[in-house]
Amino acid sequence: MTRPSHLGTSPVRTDAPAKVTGTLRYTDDLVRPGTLHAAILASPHAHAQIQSIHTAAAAAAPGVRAVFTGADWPGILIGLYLGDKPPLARGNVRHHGEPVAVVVADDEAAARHALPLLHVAYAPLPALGSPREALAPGAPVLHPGMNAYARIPDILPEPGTNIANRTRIRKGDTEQAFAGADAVVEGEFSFPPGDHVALEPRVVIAEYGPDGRLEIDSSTQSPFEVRNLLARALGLPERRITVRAAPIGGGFGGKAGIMNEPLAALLAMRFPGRPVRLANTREADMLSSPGRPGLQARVRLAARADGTLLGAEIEFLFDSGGYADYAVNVSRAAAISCTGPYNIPNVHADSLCVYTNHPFATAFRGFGHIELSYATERAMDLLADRLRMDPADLRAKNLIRQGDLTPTGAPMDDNTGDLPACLAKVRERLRWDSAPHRRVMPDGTIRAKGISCFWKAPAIPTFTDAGAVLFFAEDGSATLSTGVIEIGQGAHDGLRMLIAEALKTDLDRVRVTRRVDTDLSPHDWATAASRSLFMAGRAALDAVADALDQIKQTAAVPLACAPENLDVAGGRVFLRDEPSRFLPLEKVVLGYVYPNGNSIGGPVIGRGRYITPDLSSIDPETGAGKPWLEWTLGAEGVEVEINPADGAIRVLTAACTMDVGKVVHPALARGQVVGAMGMGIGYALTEGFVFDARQTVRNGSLRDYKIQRYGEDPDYIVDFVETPQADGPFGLRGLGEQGIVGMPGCLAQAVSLAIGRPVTELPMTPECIWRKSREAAP
Amino acid sequence: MIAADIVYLRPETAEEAVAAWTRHDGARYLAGGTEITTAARRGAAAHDLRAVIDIKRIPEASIHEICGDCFRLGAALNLSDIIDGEAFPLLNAVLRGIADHTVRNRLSLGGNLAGLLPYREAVLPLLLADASVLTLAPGKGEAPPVRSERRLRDVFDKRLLLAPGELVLSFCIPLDAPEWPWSHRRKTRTSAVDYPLVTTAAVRDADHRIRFALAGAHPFPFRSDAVDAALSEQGPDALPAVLETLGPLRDDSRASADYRAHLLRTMIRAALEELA
Repeated sequence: MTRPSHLGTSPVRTDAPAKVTGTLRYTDDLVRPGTLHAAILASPHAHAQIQSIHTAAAAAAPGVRAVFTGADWPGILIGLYLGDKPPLARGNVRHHGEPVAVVVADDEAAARHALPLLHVAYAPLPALGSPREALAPGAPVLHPGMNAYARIPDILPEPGTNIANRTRIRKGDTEQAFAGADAVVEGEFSFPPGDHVALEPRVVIAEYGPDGRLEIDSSTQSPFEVRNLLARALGLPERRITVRAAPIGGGFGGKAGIMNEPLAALLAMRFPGRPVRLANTREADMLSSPGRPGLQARVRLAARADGTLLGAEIEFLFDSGGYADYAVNVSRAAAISCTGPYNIPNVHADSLCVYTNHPFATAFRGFGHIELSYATERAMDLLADRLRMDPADLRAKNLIRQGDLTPTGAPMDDNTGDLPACLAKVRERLRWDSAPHRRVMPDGTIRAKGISCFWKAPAIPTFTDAGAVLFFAEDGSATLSTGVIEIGQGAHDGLRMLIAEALKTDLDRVRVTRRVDTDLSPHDWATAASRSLFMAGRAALDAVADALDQIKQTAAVPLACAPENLDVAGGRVFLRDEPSRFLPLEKVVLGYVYPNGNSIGGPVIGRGRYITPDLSSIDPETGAGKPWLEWTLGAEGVEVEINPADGAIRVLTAACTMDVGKVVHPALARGQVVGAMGMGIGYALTEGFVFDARQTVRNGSLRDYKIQRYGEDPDYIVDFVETPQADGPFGLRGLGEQGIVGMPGCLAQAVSLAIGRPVTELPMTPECIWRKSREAAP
Repeated sequence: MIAADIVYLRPETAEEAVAAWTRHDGARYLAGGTEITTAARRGAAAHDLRAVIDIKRIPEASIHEICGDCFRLGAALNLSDIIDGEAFPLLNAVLRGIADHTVRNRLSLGGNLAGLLPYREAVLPLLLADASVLTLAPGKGEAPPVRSERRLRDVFDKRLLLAPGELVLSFCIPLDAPEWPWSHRRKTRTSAVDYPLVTTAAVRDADHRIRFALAGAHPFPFRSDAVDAALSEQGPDALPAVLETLGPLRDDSRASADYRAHLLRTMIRAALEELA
């Protein structure tokens, strides 16, 4: 019995009807009767001492139940990897937008109405506006209590400084490499922190029951991490906490770390039996909850005259803002992948996560890789200029291949993707070798191209896991339960296709549960790191295998054969050699019932599990180890048009080719890549916080913070290469984030070529391009 | 969310609207509501928002017709309606630069001119066309409200100069103005859907003289006879003097004064070429 494969087809996604009709229920659609509403007062200062907070007037306002400040929870510190954050500021505020007080009222209007009645006296303090300022001698130490903060062993803070983490890579002998080089280039590159701007602002509804159990509904990417974080922060054991997650309206990493759950939980514990809702306004989502880190980077490269890379000296200073959250691990991930996808035998890198007085930072799409890629790609461009080489040729000469050692010293394995093929495809798409890279058009505008290569590995715990449970209904259809959150990426649809493929059944006979509930769903690390289809996919296939065993066990009795002689396809279980002897699945999956009523078997419940194998932590002195699971490799390129009169820029074409192992759903895969590329264009050209001299944010609302819009898109060209990932389900590897990684690099190369000056800062707004183009030629 | 109880009134005539304003302390006239609601949401209204008077049901504030040698546009018309009417190409070009289509379905002509935001780009074509404005102001004491039609340039200095409670009903634009050659340019920091760094609008009038107005470069729109005369008589040679006349330009998180000055020079030159 042969049937066409589901893999490589693009069925309509299962949540499309609900999404396009506006009926999908997000977390904030779950408000229950009796809910209390919380509203946060945010600091207008980036760095200040709180001298007093007068709450009496607000507390007396109509409908207000209570007002809380940092003093209400003197002992509590929250942090995923480094416990550094009080639920409300205590003593000092460390960034513009930091929550300093919260009002709880009968409705949201009453809570917001009371906010202006709160009177806070601040004594402003000098504010740290960049990692370099924060590392300068004499800079104020923002977290003097760091020594006592709880942390995981992989994070290495340096108490007494503003360094929340330092990850070192020491591979080979860089001194010798630089001494023997024909060419050495050095550059400093930077960009400011910014926001994810997910469509759905963060929301949490917490309820503390009279039974002492805490129940949380949250717009989170990682319900199990939230449970774990709450357990540690509040001293409640996990068994007393339930976290539920509905589909969310975009995460991009911003809903993976610390959000409002701890504060909402603490509020709920003050009002047992009443749900407490804490919903961010857009402005609070941008400033009070975490955004993405900024970066100051210095990269030195050493090469032979023919372009062969010999060594790299790298310093990444991540701007983590007032608190560390996931940014500590972002800095670690950037160290592990610090060279970009190039074979560099000698590497000396220090990647630091540094506290400043900017809004605090967490994971962002690409997780350290978009940041490092921008810096290393810019340095590669400087080297190409120095050697007068085609930047694509320089990259082609140094691409990492199977057997090469990554910065942590572990070899690229048999599953290494075909990066040369990716780069060649992008060259072809951009007509790189058949048309000039820079042209002055008749109207005076300049068109220029840029090209970059990228890699990304998930930066995950060594014990990252995924569970899957497969159960069946009376009609023989299968339901998969996992811990994967639908964040817009379409992972549930991908999982459905994997299951249908493995069960050899129609797609409409498989569904994936939409809501995740830590009491009902199997454990899953988090919906992050482009890992869901890979890891939950592996667990799902494991669950299918287990379910098939049970189906065959039950069916073998009435079919009077050995279970191993049975096969399952097309909704039937049948004898492999005699397919006309079969039972429909609906007669087996809940147990088989004989004509006389006797029954055997019972419900089939497939159990599947996965845990990352063979990963290790890295050596704190040298970075040696194997912390990565799989690499997604690719190349990207753009053509831009610049008006030299005023710096106006338009992206005409953007091309991406990446090796994803196996394309499961081409339309969703393209959608993920195009979305990521568009986000990368915004990152490089328009986004990022603008600060004043006191480090308050000048563009903390969507009135002023501009993201890409429909209609501003270039022509996107997306291609895939399929070199199978042997341990991935059906050979696939992650692709959700990767399309963003190479975009800032190739855009900066194109702009630099257009104006004849090397760009070193993002975002490349028209004014910045105009200003740069007026600098003296290098 | 607007966390306040607000009185909402929807009068049928201009006289009722002005009477309502007199009765309700702190009342504001409402058409599109975008500025009032966003400011109130941020808790940043100029004063407590207690009552709004919706003028969209007042027929003479939604007028869109030719009367004699001019055509009249109601202050409550939304920008999309005006654009669809295709009466005044320069006005349409300017309005299309403001916000995006969905928001233009709400923004009103009067609101754009009388609002608190400093751009007020819709006023540029009206200043160039030498339009007039019809208003109704509350009378003193028990006196009936006062209707007056005045030359817009006489009551617009950086902003519309209105008496307390004075309601803008409509604008009257001479019929020949849409026939003049025109130029419109607009530059933003990045996205086109943003406030302007500089917007320029210019026409060559029936006497072949240049009329020029700009917004964004200052915290207010600007037109002056001196600049018109210089540009008409000296063309691009007048640029240094014109920039002198325009004085210091805005310097903010969107752009530096330098860059605005550079844009302004480029844009004026381009406008003059276009109208030459």
